[in-house]
Amino acid sequence: MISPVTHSRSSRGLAGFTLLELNVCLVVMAAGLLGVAALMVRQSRQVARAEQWCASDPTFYLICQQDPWMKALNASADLETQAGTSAWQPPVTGEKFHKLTLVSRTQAFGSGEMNASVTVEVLPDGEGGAPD
Amino acid sequence: MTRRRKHPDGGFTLLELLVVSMLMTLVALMTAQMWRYFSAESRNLTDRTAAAQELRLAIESIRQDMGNVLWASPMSGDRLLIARPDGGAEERILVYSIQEGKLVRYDPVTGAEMPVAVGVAGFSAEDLTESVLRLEVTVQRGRITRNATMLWSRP
Repeated sequence: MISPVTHSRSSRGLAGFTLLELNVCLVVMAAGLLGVAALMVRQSRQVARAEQWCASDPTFYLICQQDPWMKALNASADLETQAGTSAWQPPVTGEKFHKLTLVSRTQAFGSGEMNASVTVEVLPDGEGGAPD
Repeated sequence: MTRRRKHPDGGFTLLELLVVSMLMTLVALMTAQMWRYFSAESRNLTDRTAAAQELRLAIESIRQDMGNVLWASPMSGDRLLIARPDGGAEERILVYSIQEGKLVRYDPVTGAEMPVAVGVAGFSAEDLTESVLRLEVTVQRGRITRNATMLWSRP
């Protein structure tokens, strides 16, 4: 018993592809290329968004740390688009002086956030240390 | 089709071969054009990403060292000297310069030379005024050039 498909195949023998097959092939290929093109467009948009900060020759102001706490923590300079002072506020308020000892410090490269583990020792007035 | 069924091994006619070869040429040309476009676009995206990344690396390294700076000064236009506290009253000098397309951070005390960013086409440090230092970093990757300027006011 020969199935109709087998019969059809064998009857065509070396006749090659039909026009319909060729069309289907071209449509599939075109769909694939369009998919790649869409991916490329999306990637291009994402790259444009990611490099927006430097696409127009930016000017930054390096604002070095003035606060003794931040100096003790070895913090990066602030990078701002206009001149000013660091907006950082010390975490401890009060009248006492403190001695700050840095235990550990982690900061992701390029990140404005920093995690630090410190010990704070309250000193009598006039013995130095990081002021409030 | 009727003729082909009668003579299955008869092969293609010249007209069929011409049509097929024209179609295949057309498809090949279209594919080649699209491939060229995709390749160029892909290279462009890679260069843009790399340039932005290297510029970011250069800026972040300088930013890190300038956070607790005692003083900073240009040297011969293409070098930057940074003095940081090194425990107690001592200073630790760091030198930024461009060497063979790399922005290098050099520590004269330890002799450590660390490439901060690659593909750096230009690095300049100059005093704009007595109190303002101007740093400029230019990164080039392929046909993509990115430039950033940093201004630092001496405290």
